[in-house]
Amino acid sequence: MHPDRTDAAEIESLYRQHGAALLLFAAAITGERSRAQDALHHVFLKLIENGNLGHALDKKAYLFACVRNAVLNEAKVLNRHTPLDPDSAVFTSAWFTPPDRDYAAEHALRHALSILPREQRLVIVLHIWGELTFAQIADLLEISANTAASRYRYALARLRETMLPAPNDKEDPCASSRG
Amino acid sequence: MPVPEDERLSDEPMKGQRMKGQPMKGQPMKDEGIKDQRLNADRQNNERVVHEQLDHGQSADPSADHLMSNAQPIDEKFETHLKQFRPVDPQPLPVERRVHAPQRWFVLAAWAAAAAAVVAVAVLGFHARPGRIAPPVETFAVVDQPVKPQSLTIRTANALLATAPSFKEAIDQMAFPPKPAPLPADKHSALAELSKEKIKL
Repeated sequence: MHPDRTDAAEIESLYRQHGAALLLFAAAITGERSRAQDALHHVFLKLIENGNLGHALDKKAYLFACVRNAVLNEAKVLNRHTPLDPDSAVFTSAWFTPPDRDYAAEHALRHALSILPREQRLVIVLHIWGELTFAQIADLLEISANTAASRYRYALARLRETMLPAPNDKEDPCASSRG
Repeated sequence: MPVPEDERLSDEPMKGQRMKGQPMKGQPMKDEGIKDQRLNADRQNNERVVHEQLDHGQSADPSADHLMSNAQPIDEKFETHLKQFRPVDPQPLPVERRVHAPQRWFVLAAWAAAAAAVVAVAVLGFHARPGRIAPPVETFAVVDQPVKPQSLTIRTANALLATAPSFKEAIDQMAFPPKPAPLPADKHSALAELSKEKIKL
């Protein structure tokens, strides 16, 4: 066996560990969950077949890069991206498990993500749910770390504006956690 | 609705975002020059902090970007709020079904073995019924009784070996089964009578 070769059990363990965030990341690019799922399966099945994950220093970042490449390659073939439209049929399936079964908040989050610029959406998904550092995001998206941090800041502010009503209109969901 | 492209570069402030020193929405800007200077200073400070963290091998914490911002505690809470939304798990890998394939083969093999055992028991039971048992071995030993020719089976061979006075005799009986006993003198076989008949053509 090749020393760098990763066995299937380890790759499946990585799938269970990071699969949800990777799927969300792929869906944030494609706008379509089924295509994101296909790309994710394609990446992991290929990894299991080849077992060439051993050479990756940062396996999590490598997985995100693989998923991104798979999605972009598929998009080249199809020559299209489905727009992230909250009202479209492909966007009706839930992307998140909301806290306290607050599905209205889940829908609001999806809507807020959908109207973000794509670059900002990717950064915020990678940082919040992918738990990648800005340095990792910078390597992945081939941008500077400052740009990644800046996009994140803007995306967070815009999400907040979209999701949370003005303080005078409604109670802030974050207010309870502020103490 | 198509995804709007991010036409602004990351260094540009976002529309509607309020930063330190920036008035609320709808309020007139009192001094544009002072505002620009403050924004530039904030931006430089933020980038310096991120650079320092990256240089020291730390993760670039977004909270570092907000050290100069009034919105820092709110954004941290909002981050926490967002993290409470867990991404939905993907479907299981197809390969996981392949992993369990040997177990399915084992189950199938067990069922096949059980079916074969049932068939074997049924066949043995059918042959062991009393009406199906071969005639007793004494038939071969009694020379006076007419003996019907029988095919040699394991059962008859075992019986011969058990009852014959010697091994050689048992083998002889297997190889040359006893001929039917001759008919009494007052009886004739049909075949003998027919052979005597003269047919005139």
